[in-house]
Amino acid sequence: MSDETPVALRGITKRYGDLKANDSVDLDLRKGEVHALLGENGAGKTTLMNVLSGVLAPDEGEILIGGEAVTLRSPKHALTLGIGVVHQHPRLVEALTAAENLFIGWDVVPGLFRRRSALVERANELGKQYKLELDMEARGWQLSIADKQRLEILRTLTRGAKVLILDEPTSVLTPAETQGLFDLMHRHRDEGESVVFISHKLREALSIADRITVMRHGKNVKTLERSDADVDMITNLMIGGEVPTASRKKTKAGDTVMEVAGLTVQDDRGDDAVRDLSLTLAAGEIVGVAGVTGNGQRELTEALAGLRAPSAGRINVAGKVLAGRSCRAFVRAGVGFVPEDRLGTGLAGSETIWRNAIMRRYGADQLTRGPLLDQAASHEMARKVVAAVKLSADDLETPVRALSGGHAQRLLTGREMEVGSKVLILAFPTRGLDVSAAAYLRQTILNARDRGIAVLFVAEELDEILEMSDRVVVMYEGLINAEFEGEVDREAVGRAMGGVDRSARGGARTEAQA
Amino acid sequence: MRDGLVSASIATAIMAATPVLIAATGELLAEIVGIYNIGIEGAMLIGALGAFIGVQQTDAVVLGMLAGMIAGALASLIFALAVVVFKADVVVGGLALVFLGFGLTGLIGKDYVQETASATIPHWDIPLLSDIPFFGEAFFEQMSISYFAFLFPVGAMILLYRTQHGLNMRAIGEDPGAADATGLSVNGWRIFYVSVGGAFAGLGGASLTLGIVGTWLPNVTAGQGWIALAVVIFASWRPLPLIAGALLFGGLGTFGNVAQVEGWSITPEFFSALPYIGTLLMVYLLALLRIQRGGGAPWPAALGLPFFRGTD
Amino acid sequence: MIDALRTLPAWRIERRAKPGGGVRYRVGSVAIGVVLSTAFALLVSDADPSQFFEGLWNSTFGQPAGFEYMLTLTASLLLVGLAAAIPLKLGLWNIGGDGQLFLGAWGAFAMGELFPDMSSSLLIPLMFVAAAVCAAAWSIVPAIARVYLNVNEIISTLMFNFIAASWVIYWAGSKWGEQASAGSVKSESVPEQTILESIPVGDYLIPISFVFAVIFGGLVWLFLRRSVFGYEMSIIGSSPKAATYAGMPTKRIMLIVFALGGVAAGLAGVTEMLTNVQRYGPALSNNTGYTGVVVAVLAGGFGPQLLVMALVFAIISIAGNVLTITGAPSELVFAMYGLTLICAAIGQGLRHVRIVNPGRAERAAALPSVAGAAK
Repeated sequence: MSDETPVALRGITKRYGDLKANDSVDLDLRKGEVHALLGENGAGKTTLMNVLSGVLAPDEGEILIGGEAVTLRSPKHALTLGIGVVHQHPRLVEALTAAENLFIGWDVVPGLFRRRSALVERANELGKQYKLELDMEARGWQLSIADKQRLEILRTLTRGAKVLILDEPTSVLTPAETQGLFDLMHRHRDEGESVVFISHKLREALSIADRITVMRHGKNVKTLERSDADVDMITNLMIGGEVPTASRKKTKAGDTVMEVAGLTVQDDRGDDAVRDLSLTLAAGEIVGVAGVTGNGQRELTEALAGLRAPSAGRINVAGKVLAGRSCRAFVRAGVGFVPEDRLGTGLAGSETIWRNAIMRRYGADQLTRGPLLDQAASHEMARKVVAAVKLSADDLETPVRALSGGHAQRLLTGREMEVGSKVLILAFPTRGLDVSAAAYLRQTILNARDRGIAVLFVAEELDEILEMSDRVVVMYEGLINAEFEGEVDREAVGRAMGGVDRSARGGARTEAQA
Repeated sequence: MRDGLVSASIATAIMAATPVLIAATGELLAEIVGIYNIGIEGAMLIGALGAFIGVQQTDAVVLGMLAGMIAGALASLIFALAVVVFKADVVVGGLALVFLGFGLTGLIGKDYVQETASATIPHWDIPLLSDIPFFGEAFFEQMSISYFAFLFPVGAMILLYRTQHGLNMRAIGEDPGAADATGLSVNGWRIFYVSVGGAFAGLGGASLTLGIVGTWLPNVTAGQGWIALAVVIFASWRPLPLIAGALLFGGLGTFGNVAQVEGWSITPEFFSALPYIGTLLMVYLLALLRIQRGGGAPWPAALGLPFFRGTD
Repeated sequence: MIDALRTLPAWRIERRAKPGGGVRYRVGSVAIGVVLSTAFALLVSDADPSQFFEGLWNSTFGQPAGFEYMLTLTASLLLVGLAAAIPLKLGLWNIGGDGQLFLGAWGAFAMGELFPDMSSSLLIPLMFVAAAVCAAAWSIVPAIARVYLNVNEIISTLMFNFIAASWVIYWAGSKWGEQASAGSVKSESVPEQTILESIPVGDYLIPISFVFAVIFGGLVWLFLRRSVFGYEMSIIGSSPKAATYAGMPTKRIMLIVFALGGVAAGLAGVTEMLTNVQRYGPALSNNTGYTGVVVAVLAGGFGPQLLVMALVFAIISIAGNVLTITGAPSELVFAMYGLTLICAAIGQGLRHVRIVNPGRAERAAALPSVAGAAK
């Protein structure tokens, strides 16, 4: 078989119950190319790569390596055949050092017993060799996300990966780190090997790839050369039609509803995640918080919702002092919160829809009769919540985990809009949702804002933030280091996200791509 | 207090610590790879009876101890298969092992109750060292198995922290998904080390029926398997502190003897409860200190959670 | 040959997206377990099966005496089952049923000692209350250790069981004993007027302890199903993080739930003492607390299924008794529990997995591929 095609997938099908996550997918990789695999959330990219890397067994189809059909028994087996994956969230053992992580399952320092330092020495050697250097003696939890990723790439390369698969690697990187990653990908390609770059970020794929494959609904829609591709065509292939653009009324922001001053919040380790942060939210405006994940957004939203007590600072809503008070107090003050962790924190997965719908208000007088739950009133409230977000109220007894991601998020948002009569805080609300679910959610949020609710919207997709927000603030290392209003300069925001400069306002707004 | 009494008490404490220490070392290995076995009490009982029967049949102590280890390992293997392969709940499986152990040993052992062992574990008086006044009597006139009991944790320390395999083990217990991705057989090693833990528990049981007690009695272990679990917690999942934990337990147990000899007028039941009260206080105190000091959880992050490939 | 083994397709065990039908697996695996353990028991004890089943029938439903005893046993198991099942809803393991049982009975007996001449309509309720309080105190310490010190409650409750065992011997033997007889430590008798009789229904007798246990269990079940507290419990059991987000006092609820479990076990102690044993001593429990945990796990809830499971285990226990007549040791019944539990544990686990044969993919690939022209 041709040397040009080291890896090929033929007719790969993978089912989960009735759903076809991959539907007869064919894919060829060439030597010496960067191949971008594009698609929206749920298109089947990660499943396909799990099949290719030996994590999952396909229900149908075959994998050809060097022209021969193989059955991949495990990720390790796949690695011995030259296929290595670096996952979106780097998989490191937090409690062990970087050097130890590098050598798990790999007998690289000979001899039964060895000095601890031997491991570190060898790790440093390898780091130099592949130009992926980092502090090998740091423990996993001490490393930055970018370093974790580099360690994982190093681990994959040193075990002989020829086909390097990177799953959504840039979602956790600053612009500067992303460039470093791209340089690495080019180096690997220039040595004659292949890189598969999985993403839903169109622009990045176009800037780095030699060939592009677009997936939608589990199928390979098209594979084309970079030179044949442009933004509109790819967008069309990815979502198969018109993008529903959100409609927004032109409104003027009202009075200040939420005042935050000098807020300092610790993370789970006790370090300051939010430092002396100040912010205001006005009625009927959406304030978008941009920033690379891990700069304190989660701790900020948890503090503003009452889930995490700040160590210093003020949080006032409509005059009421809330900082340090219970979650209940925040709910009573009209602060709704859609947390990042949907099914773990926001919703109780094994519980029914109606019991989730009343969760934030469960002890209230109108829902109880003495120590007992008022079933009728609770069901009534649940019906209202469900109707408000256009979910069918057929079976309120369904457990929430049986709902699709989009529906679960709708339920959660609907409930929090009922709670959040004054303020609504959303943390990464469209993450992991498919296009139509995400679009519906965005419209729902805009409707809330049109009704006069103050919205704080934290997201990682810059495009989304720019589309949705009236004002944009950028979080970097626990502080707000930039604020933008009106026409927003994308480049300026990107720089602020990377901590490069603290810029002011202005700049022409670039066309946002949905 | 009489002089001889202190050294005799220390010797007794070491002897009493032996079964717990052996079982705890084995349990530590199992927990490091992520499985905690509350059925260890059952495995210990099975090993105790197995060793006793072995000795009665062969008149050889070493064969008896081997029989005990095999019996303990097999019993724990059943538990391991249920939990690792069939994803049964760790606590439920452990309870099943305890019940099985209790029931089966009562059944099979009924003919052996109170019989004298035809061979017992020999005492080894270490030459020269055992002649030192006070220290000799206290430390160096133990059963042979006791010396090994104190060496096992050292071996575990070397295994876990100075070898590649130990690194692999720790990775499996901390993050099985990551370990699996590097090609380690998570399930395979878990089954292996739970069985090894069972073998150690069986050896600990053997040290009871062939050494300390010298005969088979129903429920001869009297909760020492569970004490071993507590000792692992007390040691914060590190091998060397296991010795301290087991000795504390053993020491508390000797107070009863001391009281009798010295004629203290405290009720005997207090002393039978003392080891358990003491163990509990040990664990609580340490937990309190840990919270004061801050810092993360000392146990392997994936302890007790089942492992499925392909889920994060 | 090793190479040949290496090329065998590796069977995989993959996780199912949604766990399979719960009730089917649960009932099925328990039934299999019961059948297996009965078969095992018959084999081991060399008993004549028809004699065994006849004896079993007479000792359970056939004769009034057996029926009455079966119900008292069911009552105890239902109560200790509750002791484990209620905390289990939050994912907490209360293995301390035995100890809590002993402390509950202690409190009740102490009331009898202090007020031996009080009328039964006052003394019996007083005893029950004392039992509840003492047992709750015994269970709250492990709960505090778990909630505030993050110490595994399994270890705590186990240790407390052993401490309680010494406690019983001390009080029953030294303080309240009539005479120390070799082998069995027991106290003097409880006051006459506190002994619980049975209610005659036709030819049969229904023990008051059974009526009490069913009413108590029923009330607890109904209350937890319909109350705000029960709602809080089930949310915490589903997702502790969601519970905090909902503003629930998670720690306090965990403590209350554990105390409630203790109360149930304490009530098992007092009812057992006032019905069958009529004295204070180690005879009050034959590892009943641990059996209660098994019952709770196999029932999977604290509704009517707990009563059914308690009855099933009462019958298994009586079956074990029947077999001791032919010379089998009393520990046989624990082996039966263990076997049943292992079957149930495996059955419970199998809900979550499916076994995949990757050989299928290979066979499909070997067929000439129709689609799949390279793009």
